[in-house]
Amino acid sequence: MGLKARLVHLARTGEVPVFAVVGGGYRSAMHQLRHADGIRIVTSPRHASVLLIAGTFTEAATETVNRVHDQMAGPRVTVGWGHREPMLAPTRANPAGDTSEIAAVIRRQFHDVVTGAIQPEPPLLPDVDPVEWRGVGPYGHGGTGMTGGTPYGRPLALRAPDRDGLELDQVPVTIGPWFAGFPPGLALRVSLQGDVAQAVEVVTTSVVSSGPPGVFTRALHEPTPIRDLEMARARHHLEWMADTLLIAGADRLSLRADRLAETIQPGDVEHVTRLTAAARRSLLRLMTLRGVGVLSADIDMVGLGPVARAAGFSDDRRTPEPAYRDIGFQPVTHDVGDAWARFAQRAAEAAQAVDLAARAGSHRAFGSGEVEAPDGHHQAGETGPADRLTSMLDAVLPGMEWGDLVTTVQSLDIDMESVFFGRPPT
Amino acid sequence: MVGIGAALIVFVALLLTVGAAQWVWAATGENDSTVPERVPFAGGAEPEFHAWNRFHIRYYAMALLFLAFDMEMVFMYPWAVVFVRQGLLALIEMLMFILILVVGMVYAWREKSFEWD
Amino acid sequence: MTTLGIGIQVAAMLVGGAYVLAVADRLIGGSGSNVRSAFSYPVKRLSFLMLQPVTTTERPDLAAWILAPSLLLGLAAVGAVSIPIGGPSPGGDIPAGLVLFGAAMLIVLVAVFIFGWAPNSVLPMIGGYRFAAMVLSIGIPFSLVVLTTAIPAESLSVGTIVESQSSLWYLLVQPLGLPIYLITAAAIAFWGPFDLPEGTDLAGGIVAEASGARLAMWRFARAALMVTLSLMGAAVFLGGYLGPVLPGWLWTVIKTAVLLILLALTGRTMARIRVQRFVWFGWVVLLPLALVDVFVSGWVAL
Repeated sequence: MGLKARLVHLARTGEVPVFAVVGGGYRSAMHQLRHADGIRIVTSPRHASVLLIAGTFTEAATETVNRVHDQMAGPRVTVGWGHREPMLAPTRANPAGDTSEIAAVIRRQFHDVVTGAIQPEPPLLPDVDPVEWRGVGPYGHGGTGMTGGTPYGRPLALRAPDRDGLELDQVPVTIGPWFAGFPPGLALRVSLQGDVAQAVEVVTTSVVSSGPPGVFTRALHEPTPIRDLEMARARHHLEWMADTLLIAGADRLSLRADRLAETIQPGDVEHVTRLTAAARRSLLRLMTLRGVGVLSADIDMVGLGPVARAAGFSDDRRTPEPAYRDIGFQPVTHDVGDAWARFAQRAAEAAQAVDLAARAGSHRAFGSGEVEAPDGHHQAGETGPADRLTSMLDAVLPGMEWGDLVTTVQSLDIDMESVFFGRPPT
Repeated sequence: MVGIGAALIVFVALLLTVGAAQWVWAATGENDSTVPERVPFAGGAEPEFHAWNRFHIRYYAMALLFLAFDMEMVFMYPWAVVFVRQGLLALIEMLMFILILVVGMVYAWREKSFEWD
Repeated sequence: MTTLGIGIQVAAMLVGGAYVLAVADRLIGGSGSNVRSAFSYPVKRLSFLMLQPVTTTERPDLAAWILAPSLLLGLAAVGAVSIPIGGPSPGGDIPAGLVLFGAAMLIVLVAVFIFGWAPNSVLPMIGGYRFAAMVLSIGIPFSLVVLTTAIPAESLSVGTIVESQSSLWYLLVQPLGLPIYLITAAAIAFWGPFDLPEGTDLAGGIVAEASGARLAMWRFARAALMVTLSLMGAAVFLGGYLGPVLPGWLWTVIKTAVLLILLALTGRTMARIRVQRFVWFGWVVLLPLALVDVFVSGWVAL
């Protein structure tokens, strides 16, 4: 056996590096796939061999998905997962089944492409320079002025005053919509001076399409069992905590939060509080979240759900609801309003939700065209909190170091599925 | 007697062989990548500018503080060896030296040199 | 011992240690938790990376990109050369091994920085600059706690420092030493929770553009660096090759493996620290503690 054959023999059953593009309806399912046997979700396409396109998108996503596809190091395979029209890229397989089915399909495709049973995919975008070559010299540096010329069609950084009034280089970069630190679908154009954001602009192209309607959409129009609503809320918050822990590098705790979201039952308050305590012990508060992303008091936060309540506003659509009053609902609040307060707030709300679900009996709530979803107050026919949260970013983020910026965006729990459609998350 | 030469030989040998291996790998590998395959990764968006720029290092005051303490480290290596022979005198001398530097550290801390946003 | 002999010995330690670290990291951080698959995991991963094409970016600094992994591995090896593994070498070891080790570990900054700089991509570049802030903050406490072990030994040779622990390990004589050493060592090897240059918030940071053999090379060099740091920790705080019954080299291996597993444990369970918090932590907490370590240990040694 030659060296290459030996390597193929070893690699074909190894863990599959997958870069995932997540659209409408599959955020929750991705949390389970993350821990599937033999699958590793990677943060950069350069490490990936399989591109997974999960859920529904709009046409506008095509270009960015194609670019990520071409950036994959390969050998490339594209797999869909409940991926619907418009199809963003040709896929080898497109099951709509559960986690174990998609994991098996991904492992199979990876095995085949590594062993050469199927051909790796060629690049999708045309092989043309984005802008024609300009400038003189091997790096285009012989243009005009000290930094003249535009090698590879891309100019060098601009100069702009920083907050101290000094003229310094500033690079505008667009990051997203498939960047691991942001919610899927969100793209920000950030002007960076060093590692600090000087200006932030939300790139508002709708790329993630809304998934199938969920329990909170139903609750807009008809009274829904509180038990269902509160369990969905608890699961949503736990999955969000898993995301936060994953971005913070606490992999083990993130796994634990995901497992809890899968298995949690009404009344499991103890499980949630233990998870929160473990997060605190991992120094998440002390070293990562405390003091980051404080929202100033002059921002109108009414209707922003946990974000508002973490800043001390006792604002909750459940309070006036008679069914919730009957089972003794009182909104939880935190003060300070930083990223840790939002983490603690959602952890407390998840614990409260499983408690309410256990006590709800056959009570039903909402149906009045208004609902308190996990990310805040939704009204039938109106855009949800996610829309307001995204439009807030350009005021909140400037001046932050890059890591703090990512932490802050993550702490706001922006759901791109509901931004453009005025629908609550599913 | 193992001299410093052994370390130097190991270092240079590794640098050359590993570097050459990578270079050969790059030279003999598939060099037919297309333009879109070479675009730097930014989550799906296309970069408008080169990433290289005159990076604003906002922790420069801290970097200067490091230089001061690093000079002190240079003195401390020989100091540590003769410390037991020199006794209390060496301890007091170094303590005075360090205390002066620590004042600088406290000043930098007060002036918020350890944070930059 | 000849230079070739030392080279083989160091290579065996680095490769073996890197394997132990990869398996431990897999068992702790992997979700499958299948013990048998963890042992084959590093080999399969390496095989895949060797098959994967090495991608490039539009206008990379290719020389720097090639140099960086070689430099990192070279520095790890130089650090390891200064540490006696099996027992006292007949003619003594490198006279100022501690200085050589300290210098090599601080130059890691250069390797990481140019690896982030080379691809001409924003996220890796921020990763490289972040690492500069990190190393400048903990370089002093790191050097100080290692140097403190030279005070009672009255020598900068690592062999002599190991020998001087025949009655009591420096872990017990200088209780502040090993904790500070492990924290700063994890930061120098950009290992969790201090993996700021490779953070998820940078989509992999300095390795975001690296694939195939380049990524494999970099991963191995980083693991080798972790092994070197653990070797030194075992030598100056845990008595290196000293120990009853078993041969000296086995004691070195056991103690090094214990430190590696300890580092692997914290790497996957703690939350990554903010860079500014880390700078503050290095200067305001670790530096004064390291100074206390120096002067208290000095007072005790008198």
